[in-house]
Amino acid sequence: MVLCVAALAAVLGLSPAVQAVALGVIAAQDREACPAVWSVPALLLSVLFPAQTVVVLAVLPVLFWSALVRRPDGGQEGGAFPAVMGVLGVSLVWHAPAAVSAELVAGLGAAVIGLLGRSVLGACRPGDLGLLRPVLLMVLVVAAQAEGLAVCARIALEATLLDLSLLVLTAALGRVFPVLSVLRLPFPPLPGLVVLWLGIHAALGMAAGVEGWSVLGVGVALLLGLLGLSDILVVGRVFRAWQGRVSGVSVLLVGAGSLLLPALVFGMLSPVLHFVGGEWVWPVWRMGGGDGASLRLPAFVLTGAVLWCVLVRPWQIVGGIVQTASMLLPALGNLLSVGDGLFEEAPSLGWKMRCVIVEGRRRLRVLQGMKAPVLPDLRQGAVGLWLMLLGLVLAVLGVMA
Amino acid sequence: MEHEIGLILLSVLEALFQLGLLLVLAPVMGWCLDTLPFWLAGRSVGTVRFRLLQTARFWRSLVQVPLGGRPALALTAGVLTLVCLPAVTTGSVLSSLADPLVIGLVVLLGRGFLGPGLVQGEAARLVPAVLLLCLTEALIALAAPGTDGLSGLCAMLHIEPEPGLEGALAACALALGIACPPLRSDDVTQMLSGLRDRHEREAARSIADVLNCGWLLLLGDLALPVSVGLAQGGVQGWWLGLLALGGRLALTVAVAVGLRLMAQERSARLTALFAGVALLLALAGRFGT
Repeated sequence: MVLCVAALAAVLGLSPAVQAVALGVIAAQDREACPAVWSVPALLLSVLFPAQTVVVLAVLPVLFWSALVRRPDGGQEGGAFPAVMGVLGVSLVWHAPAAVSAELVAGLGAAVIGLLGRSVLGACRPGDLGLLRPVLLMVLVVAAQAEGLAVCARIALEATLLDLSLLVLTAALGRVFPVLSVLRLPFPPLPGLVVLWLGIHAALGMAAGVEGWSVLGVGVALLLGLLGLSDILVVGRVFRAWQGRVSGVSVLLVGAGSLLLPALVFGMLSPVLHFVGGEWVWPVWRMGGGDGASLRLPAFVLTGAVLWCVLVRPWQIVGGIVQTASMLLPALGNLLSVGDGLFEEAPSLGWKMRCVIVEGRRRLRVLQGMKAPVLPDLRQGAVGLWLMLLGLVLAVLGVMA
Repeated sequence: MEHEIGLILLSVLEALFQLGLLLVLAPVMGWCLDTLPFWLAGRSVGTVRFRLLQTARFWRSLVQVPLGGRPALALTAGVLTLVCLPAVTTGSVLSSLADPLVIGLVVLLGRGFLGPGLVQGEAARLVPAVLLLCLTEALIALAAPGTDGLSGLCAMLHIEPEPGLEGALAACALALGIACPPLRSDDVTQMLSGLRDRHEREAARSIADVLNCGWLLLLGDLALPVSVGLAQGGVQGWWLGLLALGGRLALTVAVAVGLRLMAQERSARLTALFAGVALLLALAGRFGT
């Protein structure tokens, strides 16, 4: 399975034609596919004008429809499907170097915020928004390459590849070891944090190198944080659906994965990374952020593990370290249930907010009736106004940069 | 060669001293956080001695009986935070591991593992806190590219002051303090509901003190990075760093208590406002130079 996806990724990375065919085939196979009204013109346009920003953005819903715009009572996600879609999305952006990256980032951000807002207002859980993260990181790679920032492109590519391999690993072994989806979480011993950290530093590396990316880089950093938080929801759902006992093997896999996976992925994919820029690496102790900062996560984790072992003293317990560690996973599931309350019921707007809305409607009707207009009383929105003014100042600063 | 070994030993000694000092200060800070609001309101409060004795009992029992896996993870998170963050000077042996995002997420993880339950409304603290930590990391990388973690940032700000970044970080720290205040005694009680064992309950309270101390130290380090001494500052610099550490922690506790008294904690508007101010200051500092 892993090998199949890797081969697919390699072929897709090399040839846009194969990618177009694969897009068509996969879109036809999808069960809860995007409505044909949208998907057929989008796919046609993507064949005709492959490098247009708007077209790339239009094809993304075709790819991620089944994973993102799910009905609230939709069942389990379909096995390897999300991983293949992630690979396809990444290769789609890779083959469109002429697309304007700022617009792509803005489109992705608007999509994420729109989907989140829809699920908050509609009281349904959002889909697997983390699938959009490889695409966002690939946008960074393409943008950095277009600007000639090889180091930055390399860091973003590292993050993309690690994220994709986490997706593929979860999809491949998810049936047997559902616990492995924990690896995607952005909490310290786990590789998801490496993706988040590398992504933030790649985005801000762009800001240091290219003018006009300052605001955009901070925006990408916040977007990555938001996607990391949505992973908590997804993994929490996996935990709730799965009620079995934690086996020792899966605990060992999670431990080994969190210690070795980044080094393994970066080491094995060194040829690809080397092709983009930089040197061969085998990062065991530290990962560079490209801008002088480095993440010494393995050292941090090992220090923490030694401390934990001293506190727990697993050699005194029957079953030892694995037995004790397997008690941590239910506790983690408990922590992951944190987001459950957020999407259970639609937010009831405050009385004043409702008054404002009703008042606004009434005023609108009055305006439509061409009576003498009276200014609506919007004193409640003062902070919002200030925030908007602040945003305007920032936008002006960003444009002047 | 011997000189280098001496330096390494010194840095190890400093890390151990810092850990010991902060572990002693943790119950004192916890006592301040719990009782100062009542004391300011004119009510009588218990002395700090009981808190210290309770903590001493916890550490003594830790030597005899090992902890369970979950509280041990919470305590590990707290101790890692205290030993990694730059406190007195930047010269302690593990201070290069102090990345603000990593340390902040470690503390948040430790808070989640503290008890079998969660505080009500934990999501409303976790979500803005994670986003603000991402913003902090991004602003440091934006305004001071090339610095390595918090200790690198402290060292750089000594050499090359950058008011825009310092103001932005202070605003970030304030927003973090508003969005995710330290755990109160009621919060810990809520987390521990359903836990019968007395020893475990007392242990969880002491661990909560350690986690609160780590969180406040992180906020203090972010708000006043220049007050951390340099590694090569000599004996005088070390004493100055120690004094500054005391002042920084006192200031952070005072601000946290003030926010609680004025009922400004967990206000979404204020959090957004300070995050916006941080972004504005960082960008102004960047474009101004």
